[in-house]
Amino acid sequence: MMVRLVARRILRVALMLWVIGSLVFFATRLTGNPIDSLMPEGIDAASRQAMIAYWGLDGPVSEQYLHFWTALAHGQFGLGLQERRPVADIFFERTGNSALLLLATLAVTVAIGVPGGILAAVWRGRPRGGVVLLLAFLGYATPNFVLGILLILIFSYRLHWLPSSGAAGLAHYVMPTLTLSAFFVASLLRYTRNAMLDVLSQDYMRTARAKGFTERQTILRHGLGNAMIPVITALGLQVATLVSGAVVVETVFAWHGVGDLLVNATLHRDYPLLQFGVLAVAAAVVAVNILVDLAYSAIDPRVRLAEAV
Amino acid sequence: MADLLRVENLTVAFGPAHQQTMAVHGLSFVVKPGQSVALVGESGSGKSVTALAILRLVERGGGRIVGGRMRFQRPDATALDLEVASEAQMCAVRGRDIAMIFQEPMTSLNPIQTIGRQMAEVLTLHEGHGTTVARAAALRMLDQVKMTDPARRLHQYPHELSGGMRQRVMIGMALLCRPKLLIADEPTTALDVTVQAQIIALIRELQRDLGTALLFISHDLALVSQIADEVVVMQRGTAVEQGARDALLQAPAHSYTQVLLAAAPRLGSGTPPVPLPGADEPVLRVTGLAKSFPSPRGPVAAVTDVSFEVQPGETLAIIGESGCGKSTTARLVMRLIEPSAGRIEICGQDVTTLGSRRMRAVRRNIQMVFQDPFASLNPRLAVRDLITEPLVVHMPELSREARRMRAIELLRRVGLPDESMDRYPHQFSGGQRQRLCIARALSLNPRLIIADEAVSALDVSVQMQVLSLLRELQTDLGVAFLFISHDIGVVERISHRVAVMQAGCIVECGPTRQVLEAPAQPYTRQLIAAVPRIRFGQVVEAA
Repeated sequence: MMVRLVARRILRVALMLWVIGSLVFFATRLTGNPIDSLMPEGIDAASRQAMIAYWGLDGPVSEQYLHFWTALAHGQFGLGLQERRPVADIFFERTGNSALLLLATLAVTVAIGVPGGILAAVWRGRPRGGVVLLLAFLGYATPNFVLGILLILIFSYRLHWLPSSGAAGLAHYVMPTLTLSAFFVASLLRYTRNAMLDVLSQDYMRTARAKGFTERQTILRHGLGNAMIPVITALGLQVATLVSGAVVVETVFAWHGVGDLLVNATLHRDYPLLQFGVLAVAAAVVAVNILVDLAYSAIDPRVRLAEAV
Repeated sequence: MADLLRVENLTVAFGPAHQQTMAVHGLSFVVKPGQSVALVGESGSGKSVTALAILRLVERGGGRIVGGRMRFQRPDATALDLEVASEAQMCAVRGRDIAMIFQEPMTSLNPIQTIGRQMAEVLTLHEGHGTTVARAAALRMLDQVKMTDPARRLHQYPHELSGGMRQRVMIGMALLCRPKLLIADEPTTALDVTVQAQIIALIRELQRDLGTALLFISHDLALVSQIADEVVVMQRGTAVEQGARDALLQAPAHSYTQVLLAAAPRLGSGTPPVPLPGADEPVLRVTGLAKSFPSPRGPVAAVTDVSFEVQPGETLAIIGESGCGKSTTARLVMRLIEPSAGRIEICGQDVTTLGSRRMRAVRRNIQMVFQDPFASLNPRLAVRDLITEPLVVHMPELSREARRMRAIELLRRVGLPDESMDRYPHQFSGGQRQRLCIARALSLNPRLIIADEAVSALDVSVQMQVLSLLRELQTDLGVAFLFISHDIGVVERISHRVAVMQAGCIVECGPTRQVLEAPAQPYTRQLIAAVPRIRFGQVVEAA
């Protein structure tokens, strides 16, 4: 039973990666030939043709498509058109930076979003609860590039407190992390608030109060775990959004990460790099979602492990 | 002996100060150590609010104690006025000196923590015991509440236990600190009658062994008569009558107590209709019906082999405990789910494999009334549209005016005023809503109405009214009912014949009188024996 479920899950992941890979493959080829952006202007037709053949872009698209997957299956990801180095090398040089930014964002999101959501639920109908919700609404509604540029204007150009670009030290993390997390803190806060409001009126919370627990103990011991079940699901769904948010933020803060890399690859029609990058990011998102499902079954005994896989 | 709890003039209000409503008004009663006091009343009488007020948990639900005193004698012989006690004082009292068990065993335990953890934490909190000591005490308590296989239960989660087992856990949890007062709010209402009898016997036994006083809250006078020394009858927030059990039940002085006593569905108090002679063509004939549902561990049979007939103008009741397959049978007959085997004939037509379009035509003859009158009416539809909606589906040619006329006719049939037409469901009480559901079911002049626990959610006095309405409709319109219920007292008042279901099979079927007075099967006897009866004098052990 379990084996079959795991097999089905793997098959589903493989199918999804195939669809994504194909989409990237054809979408990039719709934008035109990358050689033109690599070559100086006014180059003669013969050299151009030789270049196209060198990069394997001369055959029919169907042939290129087949080659793309067979090479991938053999672990050959190709060379980046810009840097003429293996795309995997280029890509993985950047993943550390991005992963650190995403982890920092995730930490800030959970550290502020969850307690904020609990307080907003407990303070429902009171002015301070309204203030929390208003702040969340601001975070929700401000586009991240606007927030990023605003922060740079204030803290870099005017106050000179924080560096506006690069990823050298801790100070470099402050603004990109804030910019990226604003939206996610806000949405996690609202998810947590709704989940907590739901939990607060549950019968088992009344049982806990009748046992003699204070309201704070009741919430921490019996409310939090139950409220986290829907929140974790929501968090898992947001990971993909987080990655696309990182693309914008990395561009704004010249953060040498995966997002920044992929934006440049798109601009230069760097097919191999783009294909590999998108597939790798998609695989990472899928992996995170599987982890979320496992976490879900760990926290909720009613969900069996088999169902999570 | 000193009073354990003395409640004087308790008044609890809900809503904003300028337009507050009194849920409890000037209630006074006394609980002596070791004594059982019952608060009896229908929904909205203020009995649960009183319980929550004693524990000062009523504020959480938006209530305010606006008057009165609640003096509680603590174990150290000092008195505490609960109505003015600080939150810290209350936290020390709750769970240690006064414990409470609730109506809903299915939802009153935290679903993501083990039974052992939830029990042990009470001792850790109040007695400062370490986990090992607390768990050992929890294990002893599980044994004391007669839980099967107690050591295993400690590691299990609530969803792995049945309703009765969960209620045992709740009782054990409440008694861990040996409280002086146990408040039980409808502790058996959500349970089957046989389980109810066990739980009541258990509470009585533990109460005797531990010397705990009991404040028992119930709508069921028969049940109360088995457990209470003193009875307080509540209506709309006030005590209309109170006194020693026997005196009160034998000679109820207040008219409301008399109504409650008369309305309580008790075996032997109803006069079931006389069975009808067999007709040529039954409205419903079910033969060898079976249904199993897939599950990770192979198919689970919900209904294994069910055969019965319903004659025109007859009421056939299907009774049984939760999980016996009675609701599945109803859904199969409606073709809401597909049978695994068997045959369903409606008015002589085999509908077992009918396609959805042709089934729609058949559905005119067979309508359904559900248990929950609150959830089964679309809150956004006005009554005129709500009860004539089946007409829109089945008789689209009818004009608006014709539907309007029909709506008025239906409302009058079920005893609601014409003005109800333009109102919305939330403006009606539970009983009125169930009348609306019945009106909707009647709109197509069906030959058979399937009523699945149709009066279970209603107060006893309202139950009576709805049951008389159903009998009246049957006499006037000749409609047949397939009446599915767990409540034998209700069944006795309405059905010509009774079918008893157990584990997916009909174990016994026959005329109501015969089945209830001379049951042939041991299961039927067990079921009937478990129904609470009003008892006077010396309380005898439950069967």
